[in-house]
Amino acid sequence: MKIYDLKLKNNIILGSSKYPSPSIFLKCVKNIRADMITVALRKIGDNPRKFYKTLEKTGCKILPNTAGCFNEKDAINTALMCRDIFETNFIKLEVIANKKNLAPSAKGTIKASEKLLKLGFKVLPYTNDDISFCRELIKVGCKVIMPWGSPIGTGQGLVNIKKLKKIRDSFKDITLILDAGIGRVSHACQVIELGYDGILLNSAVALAKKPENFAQSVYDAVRAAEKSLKAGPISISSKAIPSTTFKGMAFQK
Amino acid sequence: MRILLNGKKKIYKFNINIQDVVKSMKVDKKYVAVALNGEFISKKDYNKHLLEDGDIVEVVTPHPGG
Repeated sequence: MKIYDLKLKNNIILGSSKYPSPSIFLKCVKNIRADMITVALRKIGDNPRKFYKTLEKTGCKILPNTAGCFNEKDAINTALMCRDIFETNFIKLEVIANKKNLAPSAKGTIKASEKLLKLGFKVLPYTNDDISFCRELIKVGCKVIMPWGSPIGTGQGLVNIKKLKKIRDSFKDITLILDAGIGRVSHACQVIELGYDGILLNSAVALAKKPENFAQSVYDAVRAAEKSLKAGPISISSKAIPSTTFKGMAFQK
Repeated sequence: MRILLNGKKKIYKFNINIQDVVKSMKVDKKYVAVALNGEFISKKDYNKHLLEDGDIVEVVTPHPGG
């Protein structure tokens, strides 16, 4: 999966939050074959070195986020702080409009994207499934767009498949990563079947009863979906087409 | 001089800069980033920013996130 000038070995980006333990997190990273993981910044806790060391153990590229920012200014300052620590220009940009459903702010995300791109960042903006929002982000220079399937952490899957498909069909050269809402491996398959480049997930894996097993299942499902697409699935018909011919049937004249 | 460090009041009897604040937190500079009054301050500039009364300093570090 191509993210600006970077080619990732795997198209599943994994979040680093809510795991039962650091060791289970590391197992999930391994089982899902993550090449990139997301990380946040928060006010200093007891042992910052411990989490940093866990991140280093993953061997993954870091995609820092601006989670929790409700305006353009905070998101830009958070992105600058992320770059100061992780020495990367990649940023998962979240500018939230609605605390209840964590829906993104189109205005704030577009403004912040434009400024961050000018500051040399490679912006991966979190969006909803509004095509005009995505279009504006592409206009300001984003090469990757990350629409939600449904609100963060809900596990509802792809609530509006038609809208997500329209985004894919409209922006063929843009890397599309479905970010948020995945709860089942079937959702991951749907994303791939829509022609999206990849998925970003966290809660679905971290909060599963056996996270490391779920991580493996997501990896297997994504590979299966990709393999099936390469095998050329049938086109969808509005009419029923019998599998068994009527020709030669008994009791018919 | 009173500052607000990560939301907690701190009183200093002498002048300090951001470098001093980070040092006082006993954490490797590598793992932190700083904002002064809501504006990002680069690591290389920690020494340049002498704090003033009422300043709000935020020191952040990597944290699990999705």
